[in-house]
Amino acid sequence: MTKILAVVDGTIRESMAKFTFLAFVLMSTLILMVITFAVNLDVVDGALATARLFGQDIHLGGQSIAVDQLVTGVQATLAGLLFGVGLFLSIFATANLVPVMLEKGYVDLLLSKPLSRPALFLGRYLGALSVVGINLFYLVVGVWAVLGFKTGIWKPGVLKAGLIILLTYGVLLGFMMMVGVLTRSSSITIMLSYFLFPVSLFLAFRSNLTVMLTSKTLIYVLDGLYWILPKISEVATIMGLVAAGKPAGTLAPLLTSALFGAGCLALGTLYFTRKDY
Amino acid sequence: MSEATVQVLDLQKTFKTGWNREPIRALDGITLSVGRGEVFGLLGPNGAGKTTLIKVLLGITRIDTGTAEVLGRPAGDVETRARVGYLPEGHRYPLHLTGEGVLRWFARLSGVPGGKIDRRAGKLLDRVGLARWSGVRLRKYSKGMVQRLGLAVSLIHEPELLFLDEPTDGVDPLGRAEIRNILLEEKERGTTIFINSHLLSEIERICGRVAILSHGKILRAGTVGDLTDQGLSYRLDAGPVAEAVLESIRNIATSVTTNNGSLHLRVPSLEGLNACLDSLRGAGNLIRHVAEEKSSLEESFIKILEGEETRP
Repeated sequence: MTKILAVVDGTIRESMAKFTFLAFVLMSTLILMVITFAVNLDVVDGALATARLFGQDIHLGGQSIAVDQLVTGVQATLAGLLFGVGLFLSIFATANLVPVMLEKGYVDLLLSKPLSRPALFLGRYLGALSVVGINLFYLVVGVWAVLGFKTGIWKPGVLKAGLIILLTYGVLLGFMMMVGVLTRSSSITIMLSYFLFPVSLFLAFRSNLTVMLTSKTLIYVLDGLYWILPKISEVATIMGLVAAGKPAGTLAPLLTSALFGAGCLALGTLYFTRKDY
Repeated sequence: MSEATVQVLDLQKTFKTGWNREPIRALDGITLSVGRGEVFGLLGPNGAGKTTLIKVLLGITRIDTGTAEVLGRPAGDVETRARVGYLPEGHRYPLHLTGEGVLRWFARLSGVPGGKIDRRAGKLLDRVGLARWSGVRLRKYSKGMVQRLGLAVSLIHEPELLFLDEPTDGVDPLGRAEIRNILLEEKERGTTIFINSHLLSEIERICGRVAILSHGKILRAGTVGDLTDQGLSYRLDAGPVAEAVLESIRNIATSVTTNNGSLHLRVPSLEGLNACLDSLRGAGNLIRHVAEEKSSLEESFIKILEGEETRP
């Protein structure tokens, strides 16, 4: 167990040494500092009376804004940003973890250690998941806590949304690990991972297309792809609803996406375990 | 021989490369044994299969047929690897780490407890001459320094068996001597050392036994003395030798050559050498110098490989 933890720790340190994560931490810190010190909210009877940014009044248009509505809005906006930008950056920053591990002279050293190949591979997976989780929840928990202290409203929507974002990253990471071990290429890993986003969006709206298709086979293929591939756009919708404190509806897109990630990770592990290096 | 640390029997390994999956036989019926506490050298030209053999013994590459055991367990056994150190050729470490960071991380991967790491890391960095550089990130290290660090990494968990693939690659002569001393200390400690190297002079100095590998096959194996022994071969300095005397010597010796006033003789026995000396003295030649000749390991290596290439 301590050896797997060493792999996880090594992966976290390796990732945190990258500029992308460093920039993300700095940006998150800046956002938290602005919300903490530069934003002043005056709440009267559960509504926002005045708001000031860097000491300057923000014009509220004479409308009465409910504070819990404001908190929900900020949380949902942050979650939406993190789902898009956060996942984009995370893929970019961690796509090379497997290709780097497989470089000649490094993989030999790792495989000569008293650690099974699945443990090494899964340790790498957990390391990448941890580093993204740490970065993500640093901002999410920070914003949640600062807003909570400033307004007295403790809505858990953004925390739940953070978990969904992390799960989505976990799914994509499983795919990246599989592509990484098969191709040993960071650029192919990045391209294919980004490609899943538009494909997922296209498949989510396939019903608009299938009404025009006459070929049953093509319809089955599209349906099959829909069920096999991760449903990123639908997961984004669920995440948005959860962040806004609304019911998520069906969890099938989340579950089937998780299955896709687990399947990819299992295939990648199997290939890594059997391959000569 | 003492108890075997490495035992390999009729080992075969074929790689398939390219789009047409063309088979390349990397190891072709290797059989060898390395005793406990021995320093064993594996020599061979590029592509001979030396690195593949080490990788097979560590489980990094799988065996096709044959058997291989390391420390009494099947090659590649996960637990056994805790007792084995490895310095691969062209090894790489995460560049964001310091020298000490690398050492500590690999010690943890080897399952070394924290307290022991604290005790050993500093000493080991000092031993490989990197104490002053321990807190410096690896991107500042020279190739020789990375090589020394690699040796420290391979020793951090006090292995019983050490696999070194080109351990002095990129290291200056002084550094090579230091590495040699470290290996000799490890030998004194009882560590079994298995070295792959192109630097035959290094091998000659530290290895008790060697094997020469070419095209996946072991051509010769034995002690360094066995491989460098040319039979009874001598160089004599006896001044100018008359043709008639040379003729009488040729009747005794199996080979006679002259070079810049020196005679090079190969004789079947010591008696033969003395008969040659008697002939020279009888002809009035004064013997000024007699020296036994041995070929270097490098010369033997080249001869053995050339012999293999000219074989039909």
